[in-house]
Amino acid sequence: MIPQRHVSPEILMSFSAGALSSATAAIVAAHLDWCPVCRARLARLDILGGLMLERAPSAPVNVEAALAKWASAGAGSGLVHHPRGSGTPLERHLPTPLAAQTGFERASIPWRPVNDGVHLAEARLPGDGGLRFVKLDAGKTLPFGERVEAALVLWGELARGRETLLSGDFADGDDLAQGGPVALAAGCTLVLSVSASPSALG
Amino acid sequence: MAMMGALSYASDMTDRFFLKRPETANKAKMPDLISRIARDQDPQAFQELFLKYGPRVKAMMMRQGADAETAEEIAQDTMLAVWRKAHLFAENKGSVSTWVFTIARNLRIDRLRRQVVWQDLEPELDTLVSEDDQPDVAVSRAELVARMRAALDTLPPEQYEVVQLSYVDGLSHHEISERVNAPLGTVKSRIRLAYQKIRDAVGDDL
Repeated sequence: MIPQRHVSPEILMSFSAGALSSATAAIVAAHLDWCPVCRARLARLDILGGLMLERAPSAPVNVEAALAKWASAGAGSGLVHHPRGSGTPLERHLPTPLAAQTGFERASIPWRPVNDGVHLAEARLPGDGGLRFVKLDAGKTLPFGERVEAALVLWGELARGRETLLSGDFADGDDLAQGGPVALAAGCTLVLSVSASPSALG
Repeated sequence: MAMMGALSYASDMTDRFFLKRPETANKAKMPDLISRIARDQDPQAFQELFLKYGPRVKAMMMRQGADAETAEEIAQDTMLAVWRKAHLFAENKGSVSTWVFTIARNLRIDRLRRQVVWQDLEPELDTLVSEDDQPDVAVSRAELVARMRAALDTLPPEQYEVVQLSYVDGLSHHEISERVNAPLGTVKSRIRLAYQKIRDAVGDDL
């Protein structure tokens, strides 16, 4: 099933530009693993990136050094291939970008209870903060409130007002700022990037 | 924290306006160079391609916080990656500039952020055209690029500026807000408006 809630243009443009924080970029990448719509939009935004590269200023380069590096690399050396994600929801596994970033699998997320009906797991990322995984019992409200910059529903259902977010749906902080989203059934699991750390719950 | 927040920038307020409206790329020639690199391992073609893109990649990396040596290495490694994958290039599926841009961006993130989140998104050329494209309705790639280029040229300066600060300087929304001295909401609005104008120019393909 294709997610119904997509990454906003401004966040996707920052992703294309490589200007997002590590945590938010990881969440966007995980959504892209699910979402052909956003992958198509990203491909177009990358064209925009190419056009901006054409318009970028120039800095002097060492052509001889580049040619020497090319020669020493050897003609015909192997292709480095990084396969794309499957593009399909995974019942037993985290989306590939999240698993690669955190080393977690669905069965090995190191949950710890922080409040009644709320479990939390954190994964530090190099550089700038980390990802927070949250598992909610039915009726529990998503924590962190306005500090959530981006969120992705991994499994389960989350009610936000009259809207229901399902697996693969993306939400940014503006989406989540109003009316604390509530889990509709036990086991609703999300991954979040949060604007400040450590968490109040941590 | 935005990824480049702790890094110093080579640019200053005056420097912000360095970008001139485009010097037109030699669109016909670049794919030929790629072919010569893939088919013949032609060092002259490699050199020409490096001279076209290497200086721009290096300058972009420096504006995004890399020192000159790192920026030079990323420029070199970008062109080496182009060479290694040259046999995958299909002119009807993407532009050389897009390809170079995405490779350089991914290498920069790997180098400066020491993370691997982009690996799964590395745009192999055979997947650059979305699975959503339908041959009978999809705008040709060349036409898409031409329309985008034209749309960029007609953006109001304040919208062009936020696109430029995103892609060339690698700034987050918060950093752009500080750079242009405008509220965060205004920055997001300008980006969204720029996106909308480009989308209008290319149809529903964005």
